[in-house]
Amino acid sequence: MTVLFLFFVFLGLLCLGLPIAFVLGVTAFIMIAFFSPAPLQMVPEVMYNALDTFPLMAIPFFVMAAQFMVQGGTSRYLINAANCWVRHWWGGLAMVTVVSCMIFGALCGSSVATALAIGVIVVPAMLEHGYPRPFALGVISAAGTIAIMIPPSIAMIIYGIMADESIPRLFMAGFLPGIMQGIFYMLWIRFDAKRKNIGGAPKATWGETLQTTYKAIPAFCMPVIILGGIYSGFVTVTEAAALGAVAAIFISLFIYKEVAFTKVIPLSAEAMKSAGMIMFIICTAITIGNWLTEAGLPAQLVQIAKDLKLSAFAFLLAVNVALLILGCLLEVVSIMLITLPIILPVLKALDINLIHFGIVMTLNMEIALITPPVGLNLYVISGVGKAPLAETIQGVTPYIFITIIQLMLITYWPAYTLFLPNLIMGAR
Amino acid sequence: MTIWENGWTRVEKFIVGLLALSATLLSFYGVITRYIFRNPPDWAEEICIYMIIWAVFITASILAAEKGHVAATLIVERFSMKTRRYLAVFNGAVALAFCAAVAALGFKIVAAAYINDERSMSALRFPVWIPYLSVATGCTLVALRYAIRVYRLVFSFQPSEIMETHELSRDGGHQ
Repeated sequence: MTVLFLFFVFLGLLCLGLPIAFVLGVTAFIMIAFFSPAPLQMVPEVMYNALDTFPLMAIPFFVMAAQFMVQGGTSRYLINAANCWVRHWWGGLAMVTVVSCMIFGALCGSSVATALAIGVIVVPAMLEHGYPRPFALGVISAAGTIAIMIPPSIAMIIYGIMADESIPRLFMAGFLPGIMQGIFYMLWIRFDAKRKNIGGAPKATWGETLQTTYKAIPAFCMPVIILGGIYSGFVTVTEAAALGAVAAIFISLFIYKEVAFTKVIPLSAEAMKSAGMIMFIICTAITIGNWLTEAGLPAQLVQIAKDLKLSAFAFLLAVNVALLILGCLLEVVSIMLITLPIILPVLKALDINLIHFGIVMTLNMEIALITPPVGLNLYVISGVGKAPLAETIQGVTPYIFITIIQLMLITYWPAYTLFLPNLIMGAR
Repeated sequence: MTIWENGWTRVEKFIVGLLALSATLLSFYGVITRYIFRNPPDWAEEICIYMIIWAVFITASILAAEKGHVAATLIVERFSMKTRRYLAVFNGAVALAFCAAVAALGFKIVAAAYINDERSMSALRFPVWIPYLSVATGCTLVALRYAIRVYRLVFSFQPSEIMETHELSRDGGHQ
């Protein structure tokens, strides 16, 4: 009854357009004030403690790395290189978009940041070359989401902290599905572009390809530093993120020389703004998760799952449907923080591999980023293309279906995700 | 935004940028000293966390000023400007009340930690009231931002104040 009442408070405030961080905060506040014996002083305490963990610090560092790479010209050099590799294929620039997003995803853990970084360059280019606007906007909105599947990934960092799982192992598990997703998107683009007669550009010469690839070498070094550092056991994920950020600052200051010294602090602040938005949501969302656990909801859910004799796969299907619906209504980080405390005990009871589920969750979050009404990528890309939201939604729809097929594959074929981490880091 | 508010935001941005950059360099320093000098500073991680937490709560104020806190606005966007103005006042008041309450509670915790001279569990024995102060300060700043916003929505209303960024950047404006 209480849970239902609070759910309506939550939904009401959300629909009225109150920022999500405050919707969560106010709901938590009401919960503790009226339905919990805990003192209200708990609210600021929990908000502080939510952030007081070193793994979480990877988020601002990864966002900073991305910020400096965009301003420092790294993303442009990456796109130029990708352009020479694949522009002659059907739907040339759309292919370039997917490839660029996949590479940028390997050095940035945020989907929105990736969509924005690549979008501001490829969207004007696609429109200039006569690509239909919904097509162009759809490709970049969807391709940007791959960034949270290909390591590093902010979504996986948050999941790893919540589920107490190894973040490097999660990263490794996302590698294969991330690449496959890019390939699926490219196959669809080829089909769609051929149908719409969107041809490629003339093939690049060897000289041009070599030259642009050479210029992009510092950009390619970034994933090597970050992922190499993590998997060699040299540094923790957060330290790798800090190394990445320092490397990105160094590259943009001294190698590409596109950022002035005076810009370093303003750019850090700009990066902190994106990271701060996520982290502010984390500190209000965690209060709700805590209370739901206290209210005994997870235990009830475990009991229901046992009473219904749910199989692991049936439960995963139900979770996928629930996450799909939540993904339409809520922002990614808040979904994870609210649902995970409830779902995790059931996963353990049903003996579902938590690494496998981490990837299922991440893919669901990818879909959440592109499903209206609340899909952050849609808003960001509509802004970039100066287009109505409806056009972006129209363009992204086929990709939503492709991603759902990918979700089915991931959910029902655990080896797809677990093969790589078991092979490289040993089975568990 | 008035010149005064612009200045306020600029100061916040400078502090946030400085904190974020220092935290990054500090983590980097931690790695370097561990591998090169074989003498890792045990305080680097801890100070880095404090810096980022402070940065997060000050950022919340910048985001409030720039309407950067993400909201689900697709339903609201379909209402008339008049309704949207009422809703914006309501939302501003709710956010204001929440932040003011958290700030008040937060200052109590800070006071308790200061009086009892609570220290962190690490070897650094850092006085915890300093990081605790971030929550209270941040929420006070956000509350002030929303107080200004509500005042402005009530007395000197401009439609652009409640339009979403993507509506403003869109061809042909609101539709």
